[in-house]
Amino acid sequence: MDKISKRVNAMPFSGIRKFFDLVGERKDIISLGVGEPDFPTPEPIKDAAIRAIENDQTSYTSNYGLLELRQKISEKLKKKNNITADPKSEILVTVGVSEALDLATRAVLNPGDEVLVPDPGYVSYKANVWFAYAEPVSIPTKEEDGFRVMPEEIKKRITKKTKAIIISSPANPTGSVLSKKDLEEIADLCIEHDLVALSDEIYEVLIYDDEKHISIGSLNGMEDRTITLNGFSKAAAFTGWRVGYAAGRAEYIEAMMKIHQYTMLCAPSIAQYGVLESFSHEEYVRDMVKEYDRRRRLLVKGLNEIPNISCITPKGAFYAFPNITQTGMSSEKFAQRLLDEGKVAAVPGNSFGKCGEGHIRCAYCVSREDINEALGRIDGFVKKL
Amino acid sequence: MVNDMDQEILKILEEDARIPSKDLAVMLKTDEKKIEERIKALKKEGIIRKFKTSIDWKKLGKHKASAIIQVKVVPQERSGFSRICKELSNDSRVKDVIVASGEYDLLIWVEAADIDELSHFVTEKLAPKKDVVGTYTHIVLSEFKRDGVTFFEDKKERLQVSP
Repeated sequence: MDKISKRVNAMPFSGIRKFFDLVGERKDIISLGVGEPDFPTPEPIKDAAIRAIENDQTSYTSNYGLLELRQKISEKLKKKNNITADPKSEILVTVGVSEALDLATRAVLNPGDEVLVPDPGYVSYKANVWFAYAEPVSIPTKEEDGFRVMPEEIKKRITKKTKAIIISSPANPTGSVLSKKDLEEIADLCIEHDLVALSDEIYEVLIYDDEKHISIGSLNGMEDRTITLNGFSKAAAFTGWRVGYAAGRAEYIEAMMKIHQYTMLCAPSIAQYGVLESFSHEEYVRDMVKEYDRRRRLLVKGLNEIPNISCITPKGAFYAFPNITQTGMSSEKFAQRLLDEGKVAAVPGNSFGKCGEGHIRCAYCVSREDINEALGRIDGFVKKL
Repeated sequence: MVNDMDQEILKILEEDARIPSKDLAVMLKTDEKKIEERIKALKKEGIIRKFKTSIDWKKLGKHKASAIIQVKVVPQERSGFSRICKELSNDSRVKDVIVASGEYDLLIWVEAADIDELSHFVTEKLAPKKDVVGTYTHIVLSEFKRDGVTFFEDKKERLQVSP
């Protein structure tokens, strides 16, 4: 008897996870491997969650999530994303954006369907498609395009089986941001080939240099074929709280809710009350974004001063994705030796797909002091090669 | 005139006085010369008062005797509390001098070498002052956070690598 499902067996562990095991509990390293804010959760949000416990607001919420929270999300979508979503039927509060992504893939896909995913891209995209018994198809991206997904590359890979496309902007691990024009061209393809767009917008507010975040769901003709996925962890600094949401037409949301109802019931109530409070404290997010921007400049400039390393300027998220091919090493070899000899942890780019080969992901959610120290160590390591 | 960039410079320096001008320039999209010029101007205008370092002297085994002292004073015509405040500020052992509302008028923080010096300060210098009508001394037992700097090791577990 095969104890484990073939589908699950066929899926390898995340490359990030593998690297995590390598780093383990080592104390002497500086880690640029952490994709989460280093800021504490803002005080008023912590207080709101504590108050929720004290006031016994600790029972199940509606399967859809607290209505008040959905109303806030709906207002936010209208105001910031130009998306209309009815709080009663078109918004589902989930356990982080991770669950929203899982629900969306399972709700939409049939076995054998193909889903276009950016390469390099966040490790869960392929896995979620795979666990929904569908087939992920990589859309290669190039450094010279700023790792943006190019419409012609999408076009080449659309077949009769293609059902959906995953949009990720700003993107993990490259920090790329799609322009309005990019998105319009992608939208045209979605409409022409009847594709559903699953738009992961978790890094929405982490955007720099006058770039503007555009939601593909706000574009003409996309409102009925987009599921917008978002959450609160990255912008408001509480990755451990696990609250995200999905917004889209009621048929999608209802289908997702069906799975959510049977598997999750609802997102954690205490965290939902905390998140509710975060809507009144956007000033914290503004300050954090400002600080990320400063660190981004320091890191990118520093990386470009190191021989044999070059780094394009990421426009969003909190990752830089420097090119290390000039060192003659593979991503994995480089990352491993950098860890052992340079005492800096960075995630090998190939963890995010074939097109990530030749790069490493450096997250700048660490103090400026650590960024400078890491830069010094990387420089020393590369010069000794 | 203090502009937006000055405000940014000040906020960063408030947290990290030793940050190189080179880094400030990269972070604020300007050049090093401009940063140095602005810092010089801000110092000249008295907006930047001083660059200093937070030190945990206890780790060196140096134990000081500190106290927060509430002081009741007779306000003087025209100068109010300012004369006594300036006078107290001139004593190098006095670290903070604050005029506050409430039962007492001033709050001062005194750092003396030992308890004898502290006692000498209160009984010989502070209490006998003409304007001082009463003092209430709180001896500091331990310090956890001062001026935004904590004096304890914080164990925050964070994954070294995450998605």
